[in-house]
Amino acid sequence: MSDQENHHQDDVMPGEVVAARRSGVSWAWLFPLLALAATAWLFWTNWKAKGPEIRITFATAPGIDPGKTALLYRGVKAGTVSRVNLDHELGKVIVTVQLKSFAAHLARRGTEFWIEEPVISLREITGLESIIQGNSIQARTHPGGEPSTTFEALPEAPLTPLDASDLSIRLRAGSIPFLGRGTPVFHRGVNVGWVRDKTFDNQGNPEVEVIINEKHVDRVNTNSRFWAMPATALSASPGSVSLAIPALQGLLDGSLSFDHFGAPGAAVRNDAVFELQPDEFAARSEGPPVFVTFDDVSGVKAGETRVTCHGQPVGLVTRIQPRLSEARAELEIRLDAKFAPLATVDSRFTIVRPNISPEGLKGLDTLVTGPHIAFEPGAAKEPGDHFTGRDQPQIDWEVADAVRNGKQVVLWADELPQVHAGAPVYHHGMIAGRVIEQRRGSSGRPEILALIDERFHSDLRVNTRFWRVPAALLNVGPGAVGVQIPGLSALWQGGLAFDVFGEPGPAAEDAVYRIHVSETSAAAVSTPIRIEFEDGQGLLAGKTELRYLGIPCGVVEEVRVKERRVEATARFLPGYDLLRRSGSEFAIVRPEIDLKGVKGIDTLIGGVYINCAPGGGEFAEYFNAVPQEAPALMNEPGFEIVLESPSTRIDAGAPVSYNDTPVGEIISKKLSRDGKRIFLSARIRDEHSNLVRSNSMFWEEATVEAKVGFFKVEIDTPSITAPAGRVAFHTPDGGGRAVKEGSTFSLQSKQPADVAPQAEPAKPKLPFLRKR
Amino acid sequence: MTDQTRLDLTKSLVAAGIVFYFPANLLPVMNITITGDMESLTILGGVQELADSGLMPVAVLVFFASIVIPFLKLVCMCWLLMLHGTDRCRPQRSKAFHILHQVGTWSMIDVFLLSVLAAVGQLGILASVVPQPGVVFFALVLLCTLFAADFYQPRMIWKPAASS
Repeated sequence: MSDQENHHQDDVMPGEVVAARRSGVSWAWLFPLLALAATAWLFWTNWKAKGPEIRITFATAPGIDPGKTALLYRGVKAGTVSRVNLDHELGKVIVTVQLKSFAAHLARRGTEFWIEEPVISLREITGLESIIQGNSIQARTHPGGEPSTTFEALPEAPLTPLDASDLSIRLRAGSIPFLGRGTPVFHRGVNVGWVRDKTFDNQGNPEVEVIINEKHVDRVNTNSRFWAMPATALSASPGSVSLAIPALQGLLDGSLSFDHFGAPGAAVRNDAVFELQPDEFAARSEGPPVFVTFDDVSGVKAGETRVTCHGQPVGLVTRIQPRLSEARAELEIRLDAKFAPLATVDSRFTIVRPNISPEGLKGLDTLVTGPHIAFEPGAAKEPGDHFTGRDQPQIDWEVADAVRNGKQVVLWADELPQVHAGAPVYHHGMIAGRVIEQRRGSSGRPEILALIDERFHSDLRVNTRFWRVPAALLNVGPGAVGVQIPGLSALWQGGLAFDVFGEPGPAAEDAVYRIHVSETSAAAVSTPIRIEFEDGQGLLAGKTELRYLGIPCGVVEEVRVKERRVEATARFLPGYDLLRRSGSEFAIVRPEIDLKGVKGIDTLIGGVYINCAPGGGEFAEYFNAVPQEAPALMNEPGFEIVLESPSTRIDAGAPVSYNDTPVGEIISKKLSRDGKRIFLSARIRDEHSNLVRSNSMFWEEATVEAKVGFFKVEIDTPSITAPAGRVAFHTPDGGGRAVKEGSTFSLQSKQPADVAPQAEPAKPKLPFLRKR
Repeated sequence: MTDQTRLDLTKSLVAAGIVFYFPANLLPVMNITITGDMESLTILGGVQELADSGLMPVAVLVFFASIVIPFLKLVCMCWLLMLHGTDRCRPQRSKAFHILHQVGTWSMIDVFLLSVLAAVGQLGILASVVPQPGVVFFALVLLCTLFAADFYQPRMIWKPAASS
């Protein structure tokens, strides 16, 4: 219908007014044309930007999204993953990548693809951008390959994503304990490459593949020596122990290092093979091998035991070869190239081991480092390569040396101390000589022959005294216990010492001396005194000390029994002659433990000693010992009074208190001559002596007082610190005169009634409590 | 402007709209990058994305507003133009044209929303919205239908079939 109508419309009837018809197409049709053109142009540019499609085979393709994941080449988006498929066996992932046209050259044989994933480890942090942008496929290409569209991806990201023209070399060693992919390789401290892989070669030996950066390739030459630097190195050497951490990077795996120690060699090619040395020292020891045979090589380790020359390491034991026919072991030694020419035919090699003997400690450093081999260069010119090694000689103390310029001294004692040959003889702490031998003297008594260095000859006087220095000395004094070890060498053996006490006498002629037991004994040179004891238990000749105010001032020289008493002969150190005056008091101090306390506890360890108090009379020789509590021995100033009582339970040591405050002590308890009264000596401390007046009243206070009442039992314990009771006194106000020291007071058995109970506590007066 | 010119313009604009409709729907309209994860979305892809993320009402809204309505507009315009000059279905045509005109006032809402999104959604590395060529074509489709509907006057529907 409409066609017909249109047809009718087109037939113009004659005579009708018709709008002028424009010939051709309306300009309005420009719009769809433009639209077509724009659309076509857009699709065409889109199509043009598309490069070829490539297929990459991966073992796994984590984080690869079709339509999203980008293929990056040098950081530029070179394509997009369009599809991800699995192959028929489900063994591979095939990723189809739509390349951009400008990246079409990537579709060539030799291009390597890998998946860039974030790797965060101590060793390396890579692919950080993939954390934000997701994993991507990276490419690296070699120019000039044939066009290709199927590729096999790399299993791991390469270490050097851009430069493919690096040098790849191989390092071999018997075992490669650490090092791994990514371990840095240093040349003189500069990081020049990385370990690419750690694998096995055809023979099954471990092998490390190392990549040297392109710009550092000429650092490697045929003379390069590679060595491993462990993550941390603890090196002990005589005098120092050091812990080395080469670099933070190498903290986990250690690192590799190389250098050439001689002249540089020729350039190397790819896949050159080098020997990996365990450490730098081994790398430096590259001289020609020399062979040394030893009887005993225990402790020597190939690759570790060093060869030293005058204490400096100059080489390394590289191999140990037992030679069964000779029952010896042959060491292959390589010296540092600089020292290799020193190995001439008359060179000597000696094993140095730790040597602990009475003569001293030798080679102590080898305790830590293991034995080493001392190398002594010879004087000959002819180089040698086969040697017979020596075991370490027992280095004697150089007797011959000492005889040349020493003076022999004969020392005797009734009983020789345990002193071995080689033991030191000290003078004021310096080693002045050595013991040479122990022998039986001409008169049959044991003797020690010692050599004194010539520098100390002037100290050998007629009154020089020798004494034994024990290995360790236990010093027990009042309030102090000290262990003294004179010196490390003396720890094993002890020694002797000598000195002159008092005025030096004339030089000795025959040099025969007696050995004293101890320094105190040697130094006690005063006129001897004799002290009689009722009981000599614990007294030791030569050991038991005399002490004045706690300070050793002499020594008991001899103890013997005389007329049912013990007589001790003692000598004082110089300067303590005042103790030899008549009136001096001596008492044996023994440990005493009772309810009143513990006394003389130091004697439990150090043995008994004799406490001394000086007298004021003429010099005397014979003394009688007094009990331990003798007043003069208490060494405590005080104001003494005497308390008399018909009977009392108070004993020496009981406190004397005033108003419940201890102000003194009962120091002795005696029976009067007629036996009817008891005298207590009390000492009031000086600062409280003015409390004692002529009208003071003294009474006993029992320890525990129990009152049994109708409803209660009251137990009063004035003081638990005085279980044996105590003496209390009170001085009424006014009226009393000062008393002289030694005055006698009567001791009441109970508190007098007229003495106000001072101990009564005052009632508290607290105003704010009244309202209650 | 003569009716013939209007008719020509309408026809050419509808034709251009049909041409633009294809790139508008095939090309991505925007790139959304959220924490480095870049996504290139076509209109249909955007609808699917919305549906996938559970925003079904919004997805339906966008589907109708961005795909169905422009399509229906073009179809409707074609229908009007085809029946132009005849006297068939005139009331229906008039009704349809009115609806077309009403809906047309809202059709640019998508473009407007995208421009707002592109302007606001610039959060650096976290998120960004970048308009893509598709949106230009989409806008052109809408403009074409808009102007086509504007040039075609309702009275032209009622114009007598033959110029009698």
